[in-house]
Amino acid sequence: MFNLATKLLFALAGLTLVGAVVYAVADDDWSGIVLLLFVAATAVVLALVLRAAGGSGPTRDETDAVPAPPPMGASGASLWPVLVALSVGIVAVGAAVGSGLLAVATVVFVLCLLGWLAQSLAEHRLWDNSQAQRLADRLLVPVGLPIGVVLLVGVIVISLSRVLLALPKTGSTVLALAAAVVILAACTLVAARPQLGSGALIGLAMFAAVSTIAGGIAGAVAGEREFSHHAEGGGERPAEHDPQEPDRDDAGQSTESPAAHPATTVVGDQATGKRLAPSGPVEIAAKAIEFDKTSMTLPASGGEIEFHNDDAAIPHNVSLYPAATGNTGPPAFKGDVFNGPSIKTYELGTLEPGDYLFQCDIHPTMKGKAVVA
Amino acid sequence: MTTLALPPAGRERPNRMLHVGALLAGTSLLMAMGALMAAYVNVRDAADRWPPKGVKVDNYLGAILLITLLLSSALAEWGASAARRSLRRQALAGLALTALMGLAFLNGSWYLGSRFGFGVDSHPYGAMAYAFVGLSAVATLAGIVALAAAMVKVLAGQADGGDSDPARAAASFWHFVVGAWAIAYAALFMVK
Repeated sequence: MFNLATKLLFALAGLTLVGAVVYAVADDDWSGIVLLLFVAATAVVLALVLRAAGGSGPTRDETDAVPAPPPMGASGASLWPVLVALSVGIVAVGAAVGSGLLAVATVVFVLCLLGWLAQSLAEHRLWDNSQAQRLADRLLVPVGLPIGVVLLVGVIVISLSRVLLALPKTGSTVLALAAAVVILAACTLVAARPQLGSGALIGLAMFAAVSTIAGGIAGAVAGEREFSHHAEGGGERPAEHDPQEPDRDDAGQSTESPAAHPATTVVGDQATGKRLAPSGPVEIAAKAIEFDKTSMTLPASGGEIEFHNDDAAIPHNVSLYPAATGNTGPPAFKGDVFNGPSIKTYELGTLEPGDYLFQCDIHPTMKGKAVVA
Repeated sequence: MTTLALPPAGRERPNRMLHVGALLAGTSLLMAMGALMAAYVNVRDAADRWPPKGVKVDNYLGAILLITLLLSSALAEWGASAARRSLRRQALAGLALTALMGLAFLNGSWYLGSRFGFGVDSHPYGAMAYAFVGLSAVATLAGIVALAAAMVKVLAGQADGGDSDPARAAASFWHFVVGAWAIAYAALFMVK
């Protein structure tokens, strides 16, 4: 027997189906027809599923026979669904804005979901201490505890490392020693005063957690300091150098000097306006399905491309095509495709001097101009 | 003094609010995919060439993903019916395997997106393709969350017998997730 809700849904499906036919005769707009057909299909599916589930309410005969459902415990208005919906919204905003907000929003979303689930469990009429113990034994201890400990260790390691990497070399050493002394002192205090209440311990733990996370965020915002690597022969050379930023010593002072910059491969013609053949491998990187360069200059003989694929689990390569034929013709050089993050050096062999197009064969939108000089 | 007997109690009506809510969410998903399909047809009709030059559609991977989800649908049904019959271990196994298949689908979707060879802003086809795959992935993620919640309820003994609404709701929503990918598959790999 179909109940009222099912009948209404079937009526809606019939009406939209007729509407789709009329619309198809009147106009050749396929998007409108598809939309109306989907409305009809959705109504039919919902009606059939509701009927099969019997969830659309009792029929009139049943209404008299069925008493009110038993109480489900203290079920007032819950704030958790609202918080979950809000956190989903923030996750969507985070996905558009950046990975930092996305990560925070995801954590908030998961916490809200867990809160909602916990309330749902606790409000069930069968919930009691034995059930709580059963859930703790089977879920919280074997699964939740290891995950929680890993997350805690991860947060501490990442936060402290951000702080230590942001500070100057001497400062980070002093801070690491100071942190060790503070932790030792705090644990000594806790051990020596067993009468300390749980409130004081929780307060201490909260202070440590908040200060660690806040320090980590501040360190991440400040960024890492400049690092120097010891080169062969005892000298030092700056690595990972950003040309926009001057060098800084441990005290954060500028030590910009021409001698600090070793001769590097000239890529493209941005430096002097001249096309210079590079003296070593030409470096190019792929990140977020984009090359970090749109032009490069290569030698006619014995050239190499050091290709950094920084896209995790995404395949890329670098191929060279003569500019005259573009990527519709055969490539002058075809680099091996490989998944990131990884680095591969391509040996180019001998190339005809002239203009070329370089691109990733997997993602042809990743392209640029190359000059063989 | 006469004693009047109370009339016999009617049968207890099971609480199906969660299931109805899941069905509403599922039909919303279905309509969202329908709207996307309508937009796809509209953009396709307006384009000079469809799919654009250089776009190669990998039907093989899409079909594998569809088969994976169809299998997972059967597993979800197994989990829900086992919960209704108070078979906790079987219910947990069914729901957990469904969630695992969902994770495999997410992994496959990620791989499919990375193999597209174009970006979301490359051309209208790119925008539609990423919208289809993205919406399906988000729906799958929501389905996995629902399955995980249902598993916790089963584990706590709150989704057995006549109380099996959480497992049934998660399984029903999962069927809609499968339907959503079927629509995406039809648009991207069959209609083209």
